[in-house]
Amino acid sequence: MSFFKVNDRCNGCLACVQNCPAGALNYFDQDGRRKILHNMALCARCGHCWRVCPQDAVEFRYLLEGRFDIAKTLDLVHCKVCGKPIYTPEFKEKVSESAKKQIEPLCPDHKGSEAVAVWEKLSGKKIAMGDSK
Amino acid sequence: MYRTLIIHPEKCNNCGDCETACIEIHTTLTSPGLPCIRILKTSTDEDFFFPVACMQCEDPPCMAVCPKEAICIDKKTDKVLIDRRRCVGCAMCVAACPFGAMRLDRHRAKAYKCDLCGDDPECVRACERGALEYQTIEKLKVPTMASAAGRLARLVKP
Repeated sequence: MSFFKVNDRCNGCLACVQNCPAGALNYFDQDGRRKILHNMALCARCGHCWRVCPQDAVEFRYLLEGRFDIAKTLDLVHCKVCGKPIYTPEFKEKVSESAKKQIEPLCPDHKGSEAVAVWEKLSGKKIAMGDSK
Repeated sequence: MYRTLIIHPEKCNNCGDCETACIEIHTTLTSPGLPCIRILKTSTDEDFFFPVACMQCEDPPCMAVCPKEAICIDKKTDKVLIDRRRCVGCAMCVAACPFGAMRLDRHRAKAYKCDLCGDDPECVRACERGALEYQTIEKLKVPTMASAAGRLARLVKP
């Protein structure tokens, strides 16, 4: 995912690198190739590179658009009753480990079964639990 | 000996007064529309309603799983309390609670549950049919029950 994008008109004049007030641009020449580098952590998005570029090669809008990067992709565990995604298997494992008991994949709205089970035991009445809302 | 919430599900008629009263008194604790006590309904039995609030477990699973040690038991009153300054809203306690009494307030990124309104539950006052009571009760020993559910035995008097 790149924020600082340069189109084909770039001829590597380094005007942007030399004029960047935040020092967010750099370059190095190696193995017969010139590489232009950009550091998003330093970039102030002032747009000076775009203003200064003699070739109009800097595509500044990508710096402003700032799309979300995918930082991590995980699986999901769904509620047994309503099918709503509740947490990840890693989360479930961690909670089960701390609670020293395997937790049932249920969302808070559908956890009543345990409370009802205790009540049934004490009252002797049978309450059929379906998918309660 | 301390007082706690006693629930009589057979008296509950699903009027929702306890939920409303809870929302009204907890305006600083939770975001609007989030009650600590909730009436559980079943799809099969249409006349059965079960108000569920925090059971103040003896050995609370929420306290065991909290990675920030934000949940503690008040030694004087034997209540399970959340330290809101420590809570980061990871929802581990929500997953661990066997009753679904612990919930996450997504707007504030904090867990919330029944705190028994200091020592005077508003839901008990609001309940006209007497399905909720706040009383001293002796411990009922039911060895087959899980430790968390064991506390519920005292609370639910059939």
